[in-house]
Amino acid sequence: MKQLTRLSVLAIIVMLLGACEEEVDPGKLGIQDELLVVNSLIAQGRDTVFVQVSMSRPLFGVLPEPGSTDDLVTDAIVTMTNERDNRTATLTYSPERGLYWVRGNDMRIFSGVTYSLRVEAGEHTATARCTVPFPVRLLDVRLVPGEDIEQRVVLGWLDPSNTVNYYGVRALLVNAQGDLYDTAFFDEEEYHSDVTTNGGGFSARGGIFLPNDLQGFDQLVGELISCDENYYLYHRNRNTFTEDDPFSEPGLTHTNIEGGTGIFGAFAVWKRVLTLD
Amino acid sequence: MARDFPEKNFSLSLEGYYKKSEQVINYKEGASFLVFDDPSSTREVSWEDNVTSGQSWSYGAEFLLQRKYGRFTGWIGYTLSWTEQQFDELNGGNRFYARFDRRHDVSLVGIFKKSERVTFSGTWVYGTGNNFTLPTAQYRPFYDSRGGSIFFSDRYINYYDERNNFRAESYHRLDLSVQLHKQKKRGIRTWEFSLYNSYSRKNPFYYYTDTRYLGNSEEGVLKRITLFPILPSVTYKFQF
Repeated sequence: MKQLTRLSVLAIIVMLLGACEEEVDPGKLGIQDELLVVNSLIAQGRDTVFVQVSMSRPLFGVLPEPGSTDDLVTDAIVTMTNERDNRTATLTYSPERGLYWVRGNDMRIFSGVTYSLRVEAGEHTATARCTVPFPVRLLDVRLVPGEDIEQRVVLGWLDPSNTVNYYGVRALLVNAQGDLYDTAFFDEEEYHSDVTTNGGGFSARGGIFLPNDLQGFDQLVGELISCDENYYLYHRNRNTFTEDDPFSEPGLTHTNIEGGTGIFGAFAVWKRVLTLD
Repeated sequence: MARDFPEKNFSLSLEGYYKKSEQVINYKEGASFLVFDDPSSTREVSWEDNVTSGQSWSYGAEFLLQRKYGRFTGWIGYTLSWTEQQFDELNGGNRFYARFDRRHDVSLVGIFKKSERVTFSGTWVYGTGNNFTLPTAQYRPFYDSRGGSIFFSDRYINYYDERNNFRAESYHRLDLSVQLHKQKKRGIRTWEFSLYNSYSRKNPFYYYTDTRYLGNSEEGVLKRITLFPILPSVTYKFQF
């Protein structure tokens, strides 16, 4: 009987002190936005330029079914202009890809040139500009021993000292059939800038490979992505904020799209191959 | 500014304040408390990497009306205040209201001494809700033309327009208690029976967005976590 009483008291205390979770009517909070979303990443030498145009969707209420493309805007007027020679191309919508596109021959992308993008969709108009960076030579791709039996990939490069530069890195494993596997995650070291340390050597350490992880692969391809500030801020923001972690501090979604959100960024890639034994 | 009115048994005070602080620290965007020593991370994240420094401004006015003597004592307090912060690395460098910026703060306290043996007391507090950063929309992920996905999943991306863009529901509660005193041989014994949050107000602790599955479809919902509904307590005190 005594034990039962104790258990009852404990149960009441736990019940009283326990947190309560419940749904709140979001209607009165007034936190819904409707935005035109424009995304495009351009790079020198690509044979096609793509732009994705969509509308944001509400956070609350019944959501569209997975795979729904109702939010894609298919009848927008999308134009891109090379500001150096003032040449403009209108992009065509491809229903198969869900993207607007133009051939590289009709809109050549050059490093050092600024491009502007304009999207008109119903009552929404969005504009953005970006300048394509020059590629930076990736000097070194290595596998270095870790603390135990593992190996880690290290990329190294020399940062040009006369400009502000932003970088992303990636390393891909390639098998005999030429299939690429992006398994070398760089986590915190995926994006870099030289804002505080202009010039000098840079390096990034990534993925942990156990001996078995490398079997069946012939090459490790390191990629140094020299990117513009918008590309860097947009990706770094996405990379650092974990929405699954309730204690993670949310970051603003970086955007350079005037009149909407999204990204119009530019990059240039330098690859270097390490042949695996 | 303060003044006593002894003939009417109350005092009144009115204060204003302004404070500017430099080198205030705050968590960086994307900072997490849970990955400080994540073994799968390529490098350890120290607390210094999770914070950034900036400046803050606090200003406002406080009003207090107090009854100090007699069988019924207590006070009415009201504070009107603003707290703003600015960090180069947060909110695009723009000034924003701090999480604990509380525009209105009210407290009503009453103590009624019914007899030498019985005292009733009640406290009601009210405060404007805290600020939180919540997404205002969602949009589809974009696939990087260099081959891989920019993002690690196909989940729609939450759009955050501004730091601390959402003001939570207000906080208020009423605490009640009765004290029973008795003179004993070696001192005074007091039993106190009290109710914390007597009308069990579900005050918000934090909010988050979630998805609820409805068969073949999904519904986005806003959830609120609350702590401490009504809490009864008993206290025994002996003064000697």
